[in-house]
Amino acid sequence: MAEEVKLFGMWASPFSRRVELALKLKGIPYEYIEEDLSNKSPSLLKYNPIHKKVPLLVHKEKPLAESLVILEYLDETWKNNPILPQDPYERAMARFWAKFIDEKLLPTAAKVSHSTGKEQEQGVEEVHQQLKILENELKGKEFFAGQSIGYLDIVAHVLFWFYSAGEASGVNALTTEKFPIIYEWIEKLIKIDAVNECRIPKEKHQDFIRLRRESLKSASK
Amino acid sequence: MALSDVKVLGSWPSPFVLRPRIALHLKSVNYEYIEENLLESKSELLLKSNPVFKKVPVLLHGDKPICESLIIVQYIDEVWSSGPSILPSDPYERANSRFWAAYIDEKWFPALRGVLAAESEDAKKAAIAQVEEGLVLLEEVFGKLSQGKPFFGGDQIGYLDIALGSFLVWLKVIEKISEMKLLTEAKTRCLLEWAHRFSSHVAVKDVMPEADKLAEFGVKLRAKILKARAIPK
Repeated sequence: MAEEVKLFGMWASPFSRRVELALKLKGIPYEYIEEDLSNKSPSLLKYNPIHKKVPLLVHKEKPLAESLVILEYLDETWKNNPILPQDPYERAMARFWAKFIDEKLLPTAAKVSHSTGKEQEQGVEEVHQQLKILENELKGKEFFAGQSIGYLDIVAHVLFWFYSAGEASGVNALTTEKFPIIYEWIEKLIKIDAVNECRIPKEKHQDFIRLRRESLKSASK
Repeated sequence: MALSDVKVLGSWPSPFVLRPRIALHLKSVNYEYIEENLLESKSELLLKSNPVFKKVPVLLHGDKPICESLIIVQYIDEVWSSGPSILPSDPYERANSRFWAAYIDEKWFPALRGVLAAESEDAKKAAIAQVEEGLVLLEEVFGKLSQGKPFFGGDQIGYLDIALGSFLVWLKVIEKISEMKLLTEAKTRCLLEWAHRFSSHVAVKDVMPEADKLAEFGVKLRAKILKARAIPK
């Protein structure tokens, strides 16, 4: 029943979209609740008092936070269309690259998006290095997970964020010239229905980023 | 069998290195331990096995390197599945264990490290307060997850016991630096008792470093951190 699973999310959050994608790929019905992050709902604060963040999944009244934790929970609870590999070593590798994306790549990307001038230049260089490392994992494969989309593709699909943020950040760090393999992967991904349904609308996203950059600039004056 | 070759690349002061070692002991798996000196330049083996993060611990299983302590612990749990389970079997409990282990590494540990690396008294006090706050929270978590049993994992040491327990000797060092007890009868009675049980457990006691030796290392590490910060970029 759809009421069994609720997802508290936010349209521009790549972490929230990640969970949505997993739910759709596994065919799990859910109720989606959009959160206004400047005015968090009492339910969100009640269920996720530690981090007070989205995504938050509630399954049969039990709350779960942190996107990577949620992804593993979904895979262990709904056994159809598995997203994690079966082999323990493959699983360890998938988890390792997920950690790399969340702890290295995304913070650097956020830095690029929120900065200007020299700081932004440095950020872009770092991001390029990290993207190169990640791109290596795609060589000789259709998707990060192999022949078909899996956990690491779901985690890495936050790269779409770069793809759509693009010029709104003042600089496009992810270009086809520099990262042809990642671009090929994105092209394959957007042919999948579930992925398309979870795409952050490009223009709305760019406006969102521009607005945030402006408010950061005026805050620092 | 080629795959019976198990090695752990580690460093004695690292709390993260304790994790795979405790996990292997729980599973009664024999392994070769290779010491890496954290204060000197990194070995060829480390750079080859973990080119992305260049950190310990690394588990070498046959010719396969596995990195990141909690990822290694899960790998150990999944490969040596005939031994006692480290993660709970229920998916929701597993998720809870993973959530709190992530909290420990991403929120609590930086505060602990913050006490060691504090440049001013104010910064030190703020970090100490965060460490204490985290412990009070974890006391509550212990109450909920242990359900009256000796460990977070129940009757046996589990994932979350390993995640938090690996920091116990560092916690003693931080208590020394702070000149106060952080695990107390008053605020964290259950954790205090759990800490004794964990530290004296047969799978743990032989790998925990000595507090005095670690305190000495702490002084050197602090100097290294502060020196690195002072270098203009």
